Amino acid sequence: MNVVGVSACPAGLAHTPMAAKALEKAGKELDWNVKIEQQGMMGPVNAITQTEADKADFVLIASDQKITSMERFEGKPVIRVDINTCIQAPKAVLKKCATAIKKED
Amino acid sequence: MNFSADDIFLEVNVASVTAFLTYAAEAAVNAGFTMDPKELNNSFLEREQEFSTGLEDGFAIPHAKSVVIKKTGFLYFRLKNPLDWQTYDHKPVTDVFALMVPPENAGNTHLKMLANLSTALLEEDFKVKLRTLTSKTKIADFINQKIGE
Repeated sequence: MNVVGVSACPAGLAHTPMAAKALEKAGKELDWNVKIEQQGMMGPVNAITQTEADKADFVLIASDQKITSMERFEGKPVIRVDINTCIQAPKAVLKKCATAIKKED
Repeated sequence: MNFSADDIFLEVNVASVTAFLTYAAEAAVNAGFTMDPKELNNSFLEREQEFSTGLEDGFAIPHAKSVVIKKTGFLYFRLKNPLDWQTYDHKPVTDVFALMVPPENAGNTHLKMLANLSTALLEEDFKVKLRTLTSKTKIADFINQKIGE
């Protein structure tokens, strides 16, 4: 699975990098390719390129905040998940998203 | 930012999350983060009401972003009595990192350190090792080593 995503939290401070790290770590454990861009106080960190976006099976938005540059993901299945859930149960989130997009096919 | 022994508070005795946040805001005055503990306390409370900053394994990371904050950084509190804080695993909180940033120009290096600290809390090793340390100097050294990378 190829997954790209964006994390963002209210203060843009602690939970943004935490969610990104938790999801990328879970991706490694699943042997998936997971890259999460952080949109926090530091500005974009680990930015997703158009090429990476094009290759993705789905896009995971770990946030209920406003996300910028969503046009990169046009045509891709985009799934929004609460940021705390992504930190707490990253592997379950990834698996559930994968199941959800397969059902849509 | 050099995290120092003066930024560490052990055996903190408070009865509730709100009492803790008031305590933390006062501690932040002495540590040179702000001159307005009341407003800092409000900022902590507002963030907490948005969604609890309780994590798991007894850790919480309340944080404030406010104009009354003069520098970016954090304080570490180890509690005498566990607090009933809303956490992912429903366990009480015993260790708290209070993060503070001014709204603008916080400085990327310092923000990176806060990010490093936050992500360190996803690592089992970090949490276990931190709790084995009892001297403020050793705690400060360990944290500096962890966030400065």
